[in-house]
Amino acid sequence: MTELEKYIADNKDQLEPSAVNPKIWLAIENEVLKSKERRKSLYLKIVSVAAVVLLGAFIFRGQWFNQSSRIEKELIEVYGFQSHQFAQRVHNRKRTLSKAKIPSKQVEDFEVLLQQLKYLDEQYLVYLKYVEDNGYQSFIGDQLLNYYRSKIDLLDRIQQEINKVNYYEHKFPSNDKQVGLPI
Amino acid sequence: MRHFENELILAVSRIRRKDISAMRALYERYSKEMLATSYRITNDLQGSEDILQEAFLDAFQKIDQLKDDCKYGDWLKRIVINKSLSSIKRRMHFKEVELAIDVPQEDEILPLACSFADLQKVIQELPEGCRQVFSLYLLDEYRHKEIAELLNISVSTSKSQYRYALKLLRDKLTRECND
Repeated sequence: MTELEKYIADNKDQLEPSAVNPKIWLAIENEVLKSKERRKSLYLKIVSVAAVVLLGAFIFRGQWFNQSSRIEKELIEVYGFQSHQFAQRVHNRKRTLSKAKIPSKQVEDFEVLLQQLKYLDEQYLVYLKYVEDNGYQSFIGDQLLNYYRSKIDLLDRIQQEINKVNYYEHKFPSNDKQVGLPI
Repeated sequence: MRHFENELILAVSRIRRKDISAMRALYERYSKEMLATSYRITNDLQGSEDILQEAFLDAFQKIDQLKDDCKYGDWLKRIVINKSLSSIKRRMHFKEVELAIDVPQEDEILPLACSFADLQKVIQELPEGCRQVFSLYLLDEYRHKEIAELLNISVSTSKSQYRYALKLLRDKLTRECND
């Protein structure tokens, strides 16, 4: 390598554009957010369709389910109809999650999980209303037990996602405002 | 170095999950270098800014095509270079030069009297083909074999274009500094 080559290579930083136009990042960010939005809306559509199918399946099962199930016995004998142990577990997890904070820009990443949580709670109200109107039936016991299991799984998953987000936030601080999730 | 690699692997894994703050972190890390690489090839700042935007978007959206997370920078640079070369393909040509161009190795008088702005101007004024070979070899540290593949030329053409660029640079710098 000649002196001239060495001189140019050593000073290549001086030959670069002094700064990158900030508009470039804004355009990239905008494009990424748009594609995220498109993906999210597709995901929500899939979740909605799945919810309708599930609801249909529940109703269908409710009409044809006429024998006492193992689940019913489990509910009555082990947990009692109130399923108070499950309820307690849900309550404990919700209390922990309500104290968790994440960067505000990450909240939208939880939208689908929160949507599922909302859907589960709506289903729960539907089951209670059914019991109120028609009295307790075995398939409702089954669904209530499933509700608690699904809810505990979902809350655990949200907790895991929060842990992940905060782990990366610690590694690459974004300085975004810390906010709680509407659990 | 190990620490940087770990950070890079973490950032890439976050980009796979479409985490925008990780994208921002890698953009901050690489954008200036990539803009410079593109600008040296195209000689067009506005065009290079468009290429930078397209290249980062491609790199974020096609992140699953990256085989080795530690090589994110090399992979991104290859995207930038390919896009830059595509943008100028129509006007790219290589002037035929003799293989044995005399480049003095010793007793060289450095053109230190010239400013970096003058040096940059002189590099920009090099003929397109040899400027690209010169930039890729000396500033982006590609080997002649890699440059030959990128530009679809022979290795000997890459070498001779590089030597031709050096000769032109030296001549022009000497003139600039004497003026």
